[in-house]
Amino acid sequence: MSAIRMWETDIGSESIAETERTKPRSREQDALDRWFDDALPRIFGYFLPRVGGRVHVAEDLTQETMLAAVRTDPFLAADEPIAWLFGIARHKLHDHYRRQDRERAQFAARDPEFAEASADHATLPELNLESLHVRDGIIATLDRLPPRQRSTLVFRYLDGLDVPGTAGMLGVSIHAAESLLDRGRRSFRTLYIQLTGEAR
Amino acid sequence: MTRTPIPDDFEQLTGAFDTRIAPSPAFANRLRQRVHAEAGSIAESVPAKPALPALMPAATSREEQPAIQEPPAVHQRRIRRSLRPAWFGSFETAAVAILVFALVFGAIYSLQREPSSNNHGSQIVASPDATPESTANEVNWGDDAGHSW
Repeated sequence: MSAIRMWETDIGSESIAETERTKPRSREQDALDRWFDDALPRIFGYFLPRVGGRVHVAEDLTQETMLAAVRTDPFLAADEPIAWLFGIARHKLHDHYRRQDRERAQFAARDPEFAEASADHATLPELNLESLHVRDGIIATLDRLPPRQRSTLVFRYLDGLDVPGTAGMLGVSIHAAESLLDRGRRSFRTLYIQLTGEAR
Repeated sequence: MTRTPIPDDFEQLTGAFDTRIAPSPAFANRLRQRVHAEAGSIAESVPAKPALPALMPAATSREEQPAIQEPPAVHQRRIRRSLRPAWFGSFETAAVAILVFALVFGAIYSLQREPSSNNHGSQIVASPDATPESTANEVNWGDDAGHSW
């Protein structure tokens, strides 16, 4: 068989990447770079507070979102508005919350420090959202909520969806979404005051 | 008594967490390369649009031809090009078949020839000390058994 192999020869291990670097960049590549430079900090900034400040989780979700967008249509992605990209990001976030929900249900008992809200009329204090301390408190509070309540609050208030839109994202009825919102708001108020010590 | 509606105090959170945050440069560079690789691999799978209008072959210069034929590729890979002609595969098969057939035929032929070659050898050895019977046998090959001449 060695006689047969003599017919095959390695012309030369050409590095296509080296060839590409010497070639002039195309307009599509420049457009893709501009889209990437604009979208990356927005998408990463979207995920980071919504995943409790965990950088590696935010990076994973950012990577999934950007690659999903490019796979849809790489050159179309360069011209589409950023809202379309955020739609992909929101679905990735929802998938992440559902994974967490399954993991918690499977492995973890209910957090003993979490307490159901008892005060129906408690309201959030007026928050200075430019304060790093306040923002960290909000992120930490969201991270400790039950996943379904957290996802409901995130989509309704942080993302600005209306109640039907939130129900559609979660795959529940509007009535169920309103119930989740109500429980989520009470839980958030109670937990936020416990974590930060702030009271109205 | 009517209940006073509770204002939605969560509305203040809307849009407050949509700020741009730059990730680490190492992550950004790795992701940029993957995005370009993904875009390039998808572009390869799409049928290429004709880059030039239909031209007569003579109209394209030698300098233009390599650029038109150059395959788009973004992945680093090792190129192995075979120098074997297309007909070599069938030639290979035929040569092996002939060789095997020759070996089999040769083995069968040699087995069939074994008895007559053994007789001839014993007669040659026996000839110096031939008995009257063996001499007669030597002369008489058997075809004319019974004849005295």
